Amino acid sequence: MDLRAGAQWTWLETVISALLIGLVIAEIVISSSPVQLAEQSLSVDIRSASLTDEASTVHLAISHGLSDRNLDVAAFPLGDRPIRQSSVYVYDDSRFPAADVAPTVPQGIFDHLSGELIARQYSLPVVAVSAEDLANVLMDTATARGRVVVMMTGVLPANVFSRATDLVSPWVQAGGVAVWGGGAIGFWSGRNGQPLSGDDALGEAGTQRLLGSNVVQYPTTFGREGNVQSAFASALNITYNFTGAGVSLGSVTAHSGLDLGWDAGQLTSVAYLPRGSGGFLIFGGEIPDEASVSVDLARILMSGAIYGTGQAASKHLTLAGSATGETVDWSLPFPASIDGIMLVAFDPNPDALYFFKRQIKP
Amino acid sequence: MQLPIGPLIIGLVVRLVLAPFTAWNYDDAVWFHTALSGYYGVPLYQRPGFSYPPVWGYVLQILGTVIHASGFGPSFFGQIDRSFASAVSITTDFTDVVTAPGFNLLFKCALFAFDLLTAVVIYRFVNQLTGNPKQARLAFMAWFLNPFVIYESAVHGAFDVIVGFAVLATLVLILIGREYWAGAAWAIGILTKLSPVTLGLELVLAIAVAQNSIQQSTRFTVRRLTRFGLGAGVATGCLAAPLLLQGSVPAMLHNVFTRAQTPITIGGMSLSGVRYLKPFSGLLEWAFQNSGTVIKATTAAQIIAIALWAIWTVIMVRKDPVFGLFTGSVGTLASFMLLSPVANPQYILWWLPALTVFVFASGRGYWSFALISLAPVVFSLAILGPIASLAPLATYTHLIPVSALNDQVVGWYTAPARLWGATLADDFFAPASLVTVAAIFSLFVVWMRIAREEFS
Repeated sequence: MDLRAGAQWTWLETVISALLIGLVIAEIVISSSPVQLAEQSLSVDIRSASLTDEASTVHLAISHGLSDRNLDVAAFPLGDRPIRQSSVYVYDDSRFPAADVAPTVPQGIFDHLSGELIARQYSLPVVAVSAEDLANVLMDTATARGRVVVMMTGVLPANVFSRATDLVSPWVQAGGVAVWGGGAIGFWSGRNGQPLSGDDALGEAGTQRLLGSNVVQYPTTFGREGNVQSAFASALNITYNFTGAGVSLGSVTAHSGLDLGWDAGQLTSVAYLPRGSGGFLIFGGEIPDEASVSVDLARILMSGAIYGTGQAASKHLTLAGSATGETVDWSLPFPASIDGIMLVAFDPNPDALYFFKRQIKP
Repeated sequence: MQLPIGPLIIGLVVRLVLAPFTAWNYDDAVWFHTALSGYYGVPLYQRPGFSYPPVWGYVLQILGTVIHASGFGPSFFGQIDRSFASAVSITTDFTDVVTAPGFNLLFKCALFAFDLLTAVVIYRFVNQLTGNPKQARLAFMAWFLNPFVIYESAVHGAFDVIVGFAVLATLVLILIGREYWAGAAWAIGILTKLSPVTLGLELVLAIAVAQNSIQQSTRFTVRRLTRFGLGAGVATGCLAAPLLLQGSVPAMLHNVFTRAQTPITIGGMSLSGVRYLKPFSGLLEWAFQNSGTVIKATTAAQIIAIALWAIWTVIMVRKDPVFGLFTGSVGTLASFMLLSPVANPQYILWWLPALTVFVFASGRGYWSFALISLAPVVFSLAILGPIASLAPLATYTHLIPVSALNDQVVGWYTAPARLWGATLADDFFAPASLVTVAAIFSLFVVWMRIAREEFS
């Protein structure tokens, strides 16, 4: 049979060409600036603010589009540490072992965190670093201020932290912020190309070298979850709630730290512990899902929450279902500090981009 | 030529009834995030998650943008339902993202369009090959009312049907001498899900030898191959253009290739499905610990299979172009699947449309076709239990309590075996996988018999 004779397949060619042209034109149109600007229709402005020793009031103007439904507004008084946005270095080295994290986390934490920050026009570099690069970053204590190192593999590489080495503590003292996730920090010290063994367990002594005594309670408890939201967790919509290796609230208070997470008894899932000019931001448990942790971390980093004093207030706004402007008068339940307050607004919906931050000084 | 209206309406109604309140949320959560990237104007690969070539991502992003422009809020797409926390943490095959009925219906309608397009091609081509409208009608029904096809597009929300359509269109267009458009269809398939790239060698050889008789010059063959390559190149260029304009090509390559490199599991509708039988259950752990060896061995086996099917095609296509091209293509894709470390049931959709044409045009292989249409449904339902895909129904209507569904999923996943598997799910996986593998091999045997009986 000659299939070419009398075959009526022009319609199939038309379908394929329509599919190609339709997809390409539509994709180019939706990624064009006018369409993207139209999609980013939410904005917040501070019309006025009254900050006194007794009370603080802010007057917000919100403009939004038809499809914007929710807005979370958070405010917190600022401490006396200088606020800075930081370059972010994410440890990701597949040659070294990991623990207490899902298999996709070591690489995924960089992909997700950089995606979250870049999508919100984070202005400073977000870089993946190997164990050697990490050591170089930590040895450069002169530039520690203005740098954040994210280590969420549950195991510190031995060239950075071992029985004989500690590059982390001097760097933090010098002003760096070390972000940790995956069990207790300092418990494991992993070697290049070697699976974890008993020799690699520094145990509680390793944790104490980095954080001090009685900060993380041993034995740690895998799977323990916090069920009470701290003020900051509510304000920033933090979802990470594992407390298996959580920081004790007593030590948070003792070290002038911050409870940013969910509490289980006297433990918190996310804590910031100042040390010298820098500090440790501890996600106190396993990391089963790098995506949601990255969203939490991006919010903490972008809001400057680690520069707060501990108090926080929030407002969850439902926006009118029409393109319009709204105003909000908000009396804050705390007076402003000398350095003022930080006001943060963001769309709390999954994958939403909008993020606003403004420091208001008295 | 009028399509069979009755089966068409029945097929559409069944799909539209199933679509809103069902979802395979592990995959559909990715579609949820991808559509939201269109909703918020984020480039397709800026955030990780969508680890496929761009075609299906474009479709979802376009839907997301349209939903935004229509004034719907982000809750149109779905919600995070923390009530499923224990199912998420225990199974790791379940997520707490529950896609909303409206979104389910919308993105599945895009899949239904490809189901229907494929059915139309099957109907017309079988009719053209056999001259028998009744047989063409049966072929139409065998595809459009196929329980596995309906499950994958209406319940699971798997986009593999786009690949199946692209492969079928490629074969038909080559056979009718439209090489340019065949190349374009092939590129659409590759830029949907890389698997049709395995057909490249066979297609090139088939075009080269199919009608290159003494009367037809080498120049004619070169012209046909050039048209095919040009079609593939132009289509690839078109589909890559938005990524080039966004500067997203490196991000796409990273998401598609680098992020897939994790230690492997084995199983599914491949030869490694034997591990669901209790005596072979240790293979799973062994493969995980020896991922490098497994990947090397299966890749080598796949390359050999692709080469052998290309040789088969070259020999057969001279005797009967339809037989050679269709059996060669189905054989290549099915063997690629069988030899993969792990093969999801929806991979069958890559070659099921072409198989439907061949079975109903040749009148051979009905039993194998029937088994391939049923066993993967059993496999799919056994992964997390028969009601796992009703999460949207539970969350959005409470007709089934969310807690009951969560408990059922956990209970199913952790239940011990009653028969020959290591778990209760394995008791279903083993026969479903082995029956599918056996049906594929029986098809290979049938084709060899046909070759020997009719062409020797």
